[in-house]
Amino acid sequence: MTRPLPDIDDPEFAPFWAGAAAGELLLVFCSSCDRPRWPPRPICAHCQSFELEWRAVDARGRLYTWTGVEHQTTRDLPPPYVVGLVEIADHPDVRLLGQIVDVAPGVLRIGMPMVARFDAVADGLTLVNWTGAEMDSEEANP
Amino acid sequence: MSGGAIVSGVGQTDYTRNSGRTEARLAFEAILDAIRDAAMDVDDVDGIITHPFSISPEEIVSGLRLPRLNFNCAVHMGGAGAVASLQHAVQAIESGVASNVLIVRARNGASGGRINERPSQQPAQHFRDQLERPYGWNTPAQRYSMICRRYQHTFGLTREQLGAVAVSASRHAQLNPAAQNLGHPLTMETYLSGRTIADPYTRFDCCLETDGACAIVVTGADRHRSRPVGVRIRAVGEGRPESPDDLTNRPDLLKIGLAPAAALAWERAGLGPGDMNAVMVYDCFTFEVIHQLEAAGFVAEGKGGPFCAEGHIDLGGRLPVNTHGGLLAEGHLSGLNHVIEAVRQLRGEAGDRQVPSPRHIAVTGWGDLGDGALAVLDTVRAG
Repeated sequence: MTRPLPDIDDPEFAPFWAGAAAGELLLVFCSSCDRPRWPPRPICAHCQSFELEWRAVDARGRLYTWTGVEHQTTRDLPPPYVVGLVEIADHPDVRLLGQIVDVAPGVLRIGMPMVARFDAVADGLTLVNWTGAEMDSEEANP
Repeated sequence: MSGGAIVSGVGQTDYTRNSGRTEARLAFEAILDAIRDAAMDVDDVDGIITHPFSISPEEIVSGLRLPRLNFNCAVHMGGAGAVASLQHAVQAIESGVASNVLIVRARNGASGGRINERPSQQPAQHFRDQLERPYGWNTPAQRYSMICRRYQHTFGLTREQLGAVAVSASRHAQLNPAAQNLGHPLTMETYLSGRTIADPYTRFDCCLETDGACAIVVTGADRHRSRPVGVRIRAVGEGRPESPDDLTNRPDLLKIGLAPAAALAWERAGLGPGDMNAVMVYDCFTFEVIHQLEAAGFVAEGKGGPFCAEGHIDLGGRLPVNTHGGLLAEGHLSGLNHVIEAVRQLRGEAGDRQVPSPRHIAVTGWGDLGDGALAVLDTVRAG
């Protein structure tokens, strides 16, 4: 068994993986009440609508929490690596899980700006990882 | 008091790293032990509550050739299911549907393969497959360490405070002849040298993996004659966090199902945390003890770390926690061992680790992605 990879043809997720392969972060929104519906569910938890649409969003956010994995639990994925939750900047009620790459563990802090990195790992499959982003001017000059 | 239900029998196997027996065999050993303890016949069992992913009621009926089974269910709350099962048992008995309900947990949790290799039992597996496993996030330690990190960020939490939970559990286990870690005491020095598993969790923040089984029998309080003191299930509450099928997009990772569960249980019991003489907390990891002590109201939010480090959770302290050693040091029996320990304490059968004359003991359950349950047990005299 090799590293578990998602089924990119899964009907509930296919647009997400197609977007990632094209370097875009696509999320599900409710067609009726306009709220994000993430992770994708068949029904909107706010207005009970079944209608949904996929939209590209700005692939930037902030680190909400993370763990540094040092004990191997996934075949073909040797530690150490960092997995984190990133709060999407324009949709702070949505978080994406991914590996936090090219950031020294000592530098990590909750709230730090992140930007998506689209990493092709197999034929047609691009995973969405995250790396440190430039601070915006407001933060650079507090 | 004549109403309600009592835990009439408790039973268990040995807790080891390699049982050499099947889970079904372990289950039947614990079941017979519990039925003997209840001074009943096998045929008296007419209700069974199982774990959704372990031995089935059909297998138990077949193995014991039970003449009737009037009630069965499986509770989908992961590790919180053992405590939540008490509520189902009480309801089955109070409604007259069943008279003697068996609750069983059996697992080859050590020899049956590492946790990341076993089929996952959590809800919404397609979220796990699509959004989590591909990134190497697939074990409870990796998931819950992210909750611990948020807590550290919000309230502060030291390694020594986490270590106090592990060391206390180990100290209690040294007084428990059944404990898997008997003879292997843990010092703070050893705790602090533990290798990292999923930061901030290290080796000794993580509970044991265990082969073994537990069983209890729940019976109407008015039918109980076998011993002078019966242990009554005074109240139970169960609860879930927001989005219980997904941790990643929960609005607040620190809000767990135990908070509403405990509020329900305290209200139903007419008692509060301050009335408890001890508490058995579902201790899959050290921080989960601190988190649950706060969520259930035993200590104010943000104060659980110092509370543990100051020794209040030790035997002889203000609130003894997990006097059997818990999942961290007695064994991982999905929290049914916590119920059994509360029963033994209330009966006065806990030997060297006995809490002096306890009247009320609470038991918590934690499971899946933050589900919670709390039971309040007390004593009733046979009438």
